Amino acid sequence: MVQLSTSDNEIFNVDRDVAERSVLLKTMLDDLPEAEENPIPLSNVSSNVLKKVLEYCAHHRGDPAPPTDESEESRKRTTDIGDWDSKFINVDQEMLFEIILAANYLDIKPLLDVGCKTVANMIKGKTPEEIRKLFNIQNDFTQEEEEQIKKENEWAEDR
Amino acid sequence: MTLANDIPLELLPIILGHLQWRTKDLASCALVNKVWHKYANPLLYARLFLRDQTRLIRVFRTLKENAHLAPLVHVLEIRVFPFGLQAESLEALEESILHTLQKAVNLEELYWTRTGSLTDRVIPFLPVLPRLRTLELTGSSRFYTPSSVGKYLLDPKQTPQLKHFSILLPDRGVVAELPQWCERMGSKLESFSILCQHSALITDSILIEASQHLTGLKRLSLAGCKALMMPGVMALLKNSKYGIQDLAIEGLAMPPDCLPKIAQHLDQLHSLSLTFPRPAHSITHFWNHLTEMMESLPNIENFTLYTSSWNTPRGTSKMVTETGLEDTWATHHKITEDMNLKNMQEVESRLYESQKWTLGF
Repeated sequence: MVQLSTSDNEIFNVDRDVAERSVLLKTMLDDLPEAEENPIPLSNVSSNVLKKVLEYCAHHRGDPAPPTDESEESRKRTTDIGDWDSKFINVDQEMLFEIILAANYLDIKPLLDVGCKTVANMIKGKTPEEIRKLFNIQNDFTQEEEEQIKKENEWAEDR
Repeated sequence: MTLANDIPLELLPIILGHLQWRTKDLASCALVNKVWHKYANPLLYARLFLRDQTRLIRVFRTLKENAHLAPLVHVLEIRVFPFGLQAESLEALEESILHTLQKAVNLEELYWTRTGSLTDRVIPFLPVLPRLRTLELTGSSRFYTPSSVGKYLLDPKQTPQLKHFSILLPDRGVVAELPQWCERMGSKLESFSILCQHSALITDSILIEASQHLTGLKRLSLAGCKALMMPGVMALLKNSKYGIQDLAIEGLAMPPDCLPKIAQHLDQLHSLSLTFPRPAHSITHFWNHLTEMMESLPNIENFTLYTSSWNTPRGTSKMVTETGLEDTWATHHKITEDMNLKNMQEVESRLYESQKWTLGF
């Protein structure tokens, strides 16, 4: 058993193999034997996010290690997400970003991918203005700059 | 709207990375704001697939007019070419292609497969491509002089990093020049691939000549060379100083009893792809020789067997189960159970489809 403490000071008791889905935690546990006695502080992760992250890790506890170098073929199909994963990641946008950030911090590559693919899928087919609205982004181009980029990238438009 | 709905900046490159094959989406992302442009635009230009004539003309016009874009190009695929253009337009297009290549200092992969797009008007003016690793060319010399390709494209002065080379449907002129091309590419070449369509032009003696220069090969793919027996393949395998790791020999004239013989030179082999032999050969012999071959491949992990319109066996579906090949391999070799099963299923499904199955071009 491993103890993890969150930014809001909640303690989670976790099976070691579940915790080790996180490369960060695995490295800590391997390098620092005393990490097993004391709670590991995760000051960047709140309890409601860690709960979700651990749910993912528990479900995927037996998964084989992901291939280190992805072939081009598998990258082409990058936006496919498994059934369980897509239900799991069906959360509001704020939680989605929190999960992705936690996966990035804890170094859980498959979860990071699921999260980023989900955001990529949200972007697909949208106009620049729709993307700005979706993510609350300010357009900081001048009109000339915008025109110039439109002209440069005109070839990329669907026809 | 809260701040938490914003995409955290550190995640933007990872997220956009998942859209890297989606041109239109990347173009939209590049227009969102300056930061998005900074990450999306390089992805948009990193890989240019040109399979549409209008797009091809527009892309090269853009690349010529905006000099900062060409260095973003890492992969360029010229799969189409507009024929029937007026002379001036054609000239302008060819000039813009050359101009782009001049500035495309980060180009790593170039696929120039459309017959008629690679011509003697362009070839002598090709710039040095300092980072080019992968090159795939049309083998039709109707519009180019094969020796010029050697001199201006394959010579180490022009493409010092070239490691992977493929030629598609080489004609007589290209085949005759192939040994000289190989001499230019030399021992730095790691992959060599010839794709023919049931052609007798590639002969054993041509490959024997080429093999003297290709001493660094790790991957070899020969397909549709219907006159090719064993000596040419054997020469390439023997001359590889590191040992071939990936081998595809499909649609050749090699008799099945050659398989165990070539296996002697394949102790580094990870991946093997074969076609069934001609119907003239006994399928039982084929399975026996194949099994013998597999037994002497210590590192094999991946195996694919194809049928083709020229190499379709009769009654093989039954043979797969009768010979118990699956068991033999799983017991004696390092092919993982999963891989083996997958491949055997693939073989079976291809056998059922063999009527419509042609060599996978």
